[in-house]
Amino acid sequence: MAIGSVGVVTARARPSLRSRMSELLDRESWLGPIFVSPALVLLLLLVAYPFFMALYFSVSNAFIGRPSSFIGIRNFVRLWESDAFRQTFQNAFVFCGAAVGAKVVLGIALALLLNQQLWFKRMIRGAVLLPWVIPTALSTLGWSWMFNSLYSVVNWTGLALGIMDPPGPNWLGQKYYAMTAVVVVNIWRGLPFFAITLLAGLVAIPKELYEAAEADGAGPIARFWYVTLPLLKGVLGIVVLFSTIFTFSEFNIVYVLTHGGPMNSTHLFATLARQVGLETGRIGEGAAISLYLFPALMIVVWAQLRFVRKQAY
Amino acid sequence: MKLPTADTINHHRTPGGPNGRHETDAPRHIGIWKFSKNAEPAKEFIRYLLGRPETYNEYIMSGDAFNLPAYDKLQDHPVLKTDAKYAALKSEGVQYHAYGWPAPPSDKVQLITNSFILPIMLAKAVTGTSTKDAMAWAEGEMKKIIAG
Repeated sequence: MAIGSVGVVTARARPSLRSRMSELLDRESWLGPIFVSPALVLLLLLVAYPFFMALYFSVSNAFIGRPSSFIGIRNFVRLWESDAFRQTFQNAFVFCGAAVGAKVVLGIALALLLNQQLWFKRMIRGAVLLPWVIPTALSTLGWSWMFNSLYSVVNWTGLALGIMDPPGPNWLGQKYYAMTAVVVVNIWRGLPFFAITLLAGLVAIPKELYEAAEADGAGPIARFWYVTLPLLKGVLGIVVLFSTIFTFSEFNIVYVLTHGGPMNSTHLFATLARQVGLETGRIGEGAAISLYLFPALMIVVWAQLRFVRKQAY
Repeated sequence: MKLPTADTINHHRTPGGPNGRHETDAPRHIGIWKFSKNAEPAKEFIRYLLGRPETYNEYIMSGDAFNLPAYDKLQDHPVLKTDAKYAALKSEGVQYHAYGWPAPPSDKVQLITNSFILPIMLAKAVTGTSTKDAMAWAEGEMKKIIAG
């Protein structure tokens, strides 16, 4: 009788759910997408969806509560015929140029100051961040009191020091003063971002470079010009890029202080888009206003990132 | 607390011109959503608030004339006798027009209103622009909106 080989099957214990899970989570191909997906979902829902909706609205005659149809770039062309829009366009460049320019100069100055050996250094650095941390709408309400035509503490101080004639400027009621006021508040709010980011760049500059420059006879201005500034260019480029985008899309400060007035002299794209798109219900035109500078800003972003990359490598 | 300023200020009507006096106001409307689950009780509430003179009067009286609608029939409402300073409001309803009159209300009229074209026209006229130029500017802006 032939005896065949008998295979012995041993029952292997089925891995528990927990161990299977931990095995899956050990694989990078699973773990990566799991970590990224919540952020991706948020981006899709809160950034991509509204953005593509806005793109569609800008080329349609969308009005709240009515069916809309595609009208091409008619909104963009028609906007240019509006005096309020042309004024807004000009305001945006004046506002952004003045505010970002002042923030660059003052930001570098403040960062250099904070980089010195100061008493209570940590406390001062924390305090500098306050305007950036406080909710803008609240801090701007404080500024609106300071610029109030009757109770302005700015005018009170100016009158007390004898540098203003009574009753002092009507900060929010006259167009050039109003633009000055919104620019000042934007600088006040954005300066900490510049100062703290540039400070991080300053701290990263090796001390040896300054010592070598000093040994070669370079004074403080030469050291700043030939050591500090070239090594800060990368950080400065990124900060200016972010600030330009944030400043062009500013809303809170103008809305709380002036609502875009007087005579549209402080309207920016965001505030005008709100007025036309939400208050009036012309969503299509509102979206076109907010996206008007999108192509130009894309080019600025591309050029600036290229510049930053060149600096880095 | 009554402030001293209260004695020196008052209401006034919109000035009249060669073609009469024309006034406007922000009309308020009450609506019920189509998808409302409680449409019937909502309608009943509106009928209660606006459909019965005694309730409606109380509503106007409690608002110190703020809620007084610009209707011809209400221009002698008792609320106007509660304060001497309401006298200017007496005939307010007679010359009342909706925004954009004599055109029908529309989103274009709303854009003209929300763009503050008329206040800006006045501001231009008192800050260096000649009255004629300010009026021509406002007319041009309004025509562009109406044409669009």
